[in-house]
Amino acid sequence: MDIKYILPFLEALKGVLEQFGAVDIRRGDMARNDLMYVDTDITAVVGMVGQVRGNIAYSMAEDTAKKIVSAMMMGMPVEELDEMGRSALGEFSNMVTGNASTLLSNSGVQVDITPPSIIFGKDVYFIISSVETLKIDMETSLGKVEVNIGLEI
Amino acid sequence: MDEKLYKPFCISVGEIIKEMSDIDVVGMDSLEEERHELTSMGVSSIITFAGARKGRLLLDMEPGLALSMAGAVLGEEYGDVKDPMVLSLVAEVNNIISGNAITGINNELLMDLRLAPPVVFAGRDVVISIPRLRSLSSWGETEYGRIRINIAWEGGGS
Amino acid sequence: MVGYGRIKCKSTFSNPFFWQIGLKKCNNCYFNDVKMELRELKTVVEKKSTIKRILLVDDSPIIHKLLRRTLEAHGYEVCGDAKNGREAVSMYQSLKPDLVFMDITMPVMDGLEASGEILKMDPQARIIMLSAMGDEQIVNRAKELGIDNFLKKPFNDYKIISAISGIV
Repeated sequence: MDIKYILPFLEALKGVLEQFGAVDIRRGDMARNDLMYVDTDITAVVGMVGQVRGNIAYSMAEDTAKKIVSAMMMGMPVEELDEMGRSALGEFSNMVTGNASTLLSNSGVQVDITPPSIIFGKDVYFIISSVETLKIDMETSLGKVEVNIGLEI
Repeated sequence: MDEKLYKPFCISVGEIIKEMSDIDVVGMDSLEEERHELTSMGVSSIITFAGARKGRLLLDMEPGLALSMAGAVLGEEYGDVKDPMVLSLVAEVNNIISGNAITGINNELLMDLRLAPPVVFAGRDVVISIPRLRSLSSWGETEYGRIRINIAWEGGGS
Repeated sequence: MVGYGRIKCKSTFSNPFFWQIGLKKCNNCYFNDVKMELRELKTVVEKKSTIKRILLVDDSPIIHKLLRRTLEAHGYEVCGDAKNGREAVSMYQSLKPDLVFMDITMPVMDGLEASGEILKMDPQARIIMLSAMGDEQIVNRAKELGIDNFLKKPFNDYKIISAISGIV
């Protein structure tokens, strides 16, 4: 997977989180996998069609998810993730992937993104692509966000 | 509700599964409104699409059915739904079901809907949420377990 | 003397099999109402010998396994497995298969582009496109390349073997 397709997602994630007040955002571990095993509680998945086809997943612990939702709602405390909270997470994954697709189209790659799904569970095994998935940990002041990118290019 | 946007998927499920694994699916003839959250029956696959409209198709089934289908189609016994071959099979079945239905819709309603690749997953106590999208589910039964297809369309009264 | 008979075959993925029927030629007899399947199976048995080695191209490991099972059960050899169009082109060059099953939607290079490259290298190449799904645009583009053989997913034993007999 060419790095020029990966960077827009990391830049978009950083940009959106910074918008909501997160700091200390830096790239952590990277790995290639066929199977995505997630031991955190929440994963938001968005699809992509057009010149690049694939899926992008953002995984995080419930605690981090609540902090992100709280940050999106101007710091309002979030005790539990109710329907509004899940809606906010969907919006978050939309924003990140949408911004990434804008960055891609700026470099001449036309794509469109598909509706997000939020998956809650324990010990979840995912396959999000028929080709290998690239996993990048993004460390932030709100907690860790694990980004899994499966693009068919 | 425009039946043309939902029925093709319901019909496709039974046909494709029968064709591929010789397993009969009964009961997929009615559609009910689903809440914003669904509890997975064990193995689930999501395919999303974009184009003139956007939407999402979720195929969900009990582990016994996934394992039986994998056994019938691939000719080997599988013991765990987390086996990559079982997960890949469920994804491929969803791919074919959704692909056939979407192609029919594209041809008949002159849309240009394009599918993203399937996502498939299995885990403990898995709940799936599609924020802000109304969806309809259709339930089916087989001798190895239950199956459900959930269809969501974005924008304008379905 | 007049006789009537009926043969019904059912094949599934787990139980593939072949019928062979020996028929005596007679001067004044004719076949009435012979089902298409029998004629085609007979054709396959006759022409099978020209196709031996098959290259499979699809990004799904499931499709590979499915096709391999059927093909090996019917005496064909799967000489290669490619996951995308680029691998397909290089494998075609090195393996020189008798037939290619080519999926359309694949990463890196899609099936239409790969088929185009293979046909440029070898205009006699035999290619069966998978999963056209009735998409008219794709079918038309494939026909422009000179490809006329399509196998729509899902496929079963009979459809796979019929597709091979159709390409000869």
